[in-house]
Amino acid sequence: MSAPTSRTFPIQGYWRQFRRRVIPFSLSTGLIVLWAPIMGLMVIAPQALAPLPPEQMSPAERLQGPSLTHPLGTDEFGRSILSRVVYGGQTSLLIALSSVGLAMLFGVPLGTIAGYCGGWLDSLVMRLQDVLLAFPAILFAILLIATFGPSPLNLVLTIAMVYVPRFARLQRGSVLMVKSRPYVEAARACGVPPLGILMRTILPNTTSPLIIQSTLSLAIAVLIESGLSYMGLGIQPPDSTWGVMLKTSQTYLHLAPHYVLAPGVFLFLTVLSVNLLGDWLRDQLDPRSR
Amino acid sequence: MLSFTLRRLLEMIVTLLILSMLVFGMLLAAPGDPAVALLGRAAARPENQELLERLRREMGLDQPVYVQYLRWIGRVIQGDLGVSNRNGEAVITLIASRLPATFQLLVCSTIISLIIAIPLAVAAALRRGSWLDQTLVFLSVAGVAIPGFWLGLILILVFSVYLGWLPPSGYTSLFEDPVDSLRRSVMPVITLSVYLIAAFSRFLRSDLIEVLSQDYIRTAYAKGLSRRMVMWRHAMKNALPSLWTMAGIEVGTLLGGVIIIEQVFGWSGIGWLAVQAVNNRDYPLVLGIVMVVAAGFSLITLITDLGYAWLNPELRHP
Repeated sequence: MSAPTSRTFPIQGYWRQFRRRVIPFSLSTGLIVLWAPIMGLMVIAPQALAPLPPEQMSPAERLQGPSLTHPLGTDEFGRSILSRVVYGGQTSLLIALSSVGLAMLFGVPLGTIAGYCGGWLDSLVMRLQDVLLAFPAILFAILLIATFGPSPLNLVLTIAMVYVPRFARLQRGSVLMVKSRPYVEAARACGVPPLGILMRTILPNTTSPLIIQSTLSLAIAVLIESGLSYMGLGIQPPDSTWGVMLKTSQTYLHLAPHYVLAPGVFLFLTVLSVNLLGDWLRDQLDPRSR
Repeated sequence: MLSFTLRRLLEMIVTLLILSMLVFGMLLAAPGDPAVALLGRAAARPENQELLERLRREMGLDQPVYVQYLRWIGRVIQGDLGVSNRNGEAVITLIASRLPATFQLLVCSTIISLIIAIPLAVAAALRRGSWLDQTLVFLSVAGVAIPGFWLGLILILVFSVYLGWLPPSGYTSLFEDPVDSLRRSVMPVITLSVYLIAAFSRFLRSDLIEVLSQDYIRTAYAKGLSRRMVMWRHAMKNALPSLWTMAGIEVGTLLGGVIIIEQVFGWSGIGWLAVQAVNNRDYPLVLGIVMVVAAGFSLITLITDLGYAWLNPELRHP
């Protein structure tokens, strides 16, 4: 199928190559290259993207459309939507980063121990994972928030709890796979102690799936955070995140239709580009798909 | 097949039991004394201390934790999930009254997405690399990434605020006023379907492409079958078991998504009830909903696995 037929002119072949490989590639790469620095700036230096402080109210300019001082318009207290979106993005991304980090911190050792030691320890860990995976992540989050109350810390802990079993399961699988490789046997035959085998031979070979999984988890963590905040179970109003802003904007759909666009577009582009980055990393790191 | 069914059923029961322990642990960890919650403000008065003690005894709160758990699980098995501490109604009745609304959304969006996704995936897989295929791949990547509740808000903005075609929110029972009920479910169903169509078509496309590269497909072409015959008789038949599994997983995911979407459209289903319960600090209701949804989720997984085993001849005749 992929071999060019003799009847096509070379120029057509080039065009086809361009259409098949370059355009989809450049669309996703373009998005990543464009959006990754913006995400980085939102986390490290939000003031560079939005000079106005997000709390600064000006009651005279409530719910106004885009202008030079407020490029994305103003909200119900006359605060700049651009500032709210950027600083809200900082909160969302920090929550997502720390919860995925925390989940790896617990999930990876759990999975490693389960995979490496096997036996009853393995069954115990995996049975617990099965239970945690047996119902929708968002429902689990609601249960935890209902018990411990909505706060940024609880939000991080909740999303981390959702991801611990996923990381543990992935890591267990990789460890089991790598454990049976000839080079591990060779290391054992050379007399390397078990801990040395684990740290220097097995773990370095399980990093690629972890990198891919953590990237994709980041996107879903952002979605869970904004979903919970939208339902009033996450970040609470004076602070802003995309979910909180979307919740408020729904009240003003008639008066200020522009309000709903900015937080949603930021959320969408963030999730999309992080997903695309994950797909790209998969293509780069997974030898099977090359 | 029978032993497989029994084993899976046992697994599901064990999972639900462990889950019930977890949920019960949450109930204990939740701040506040259930007896105080039941009495309300009167509990603070000193003359009511004796009443409070008696209530604790009646509710079994003075018993060891495992006795409390066994009593609770015994009632849960009989379908008694306790009473809402908001208005004293039975939790199970409250949940049952909201289930049809959620079912309506789940069933409609699953059926509609399958009807749309299957032909799209077939067309894309047959013309791999064509503009149709590339557009579909791009749209499915975007469709998976688009936040459902934002899409819902945009739909409200376009169809309710600007065009005024559809009511922005609210739920009517399908049995009371079918036309109005369907009209109101258009936007939530579209919102849920966009994700599902993207997920289904992306998965089925790559699965079909793999199936189409198999030897038996070449054989089917070689014996002179038309493309349509090869596609539906040979390729789809072999892609069906994994599509079925995928559908099961995605319907499970949908169970989570529908909770948020119900908030967007003021659709008073189970998700709407859950968020209300959290805001009212109505723990018995929250825990009841979690148990019911988890049981539903496990049931979907069970049906998916059994269906897969039935569809896949290798597992049917071991």
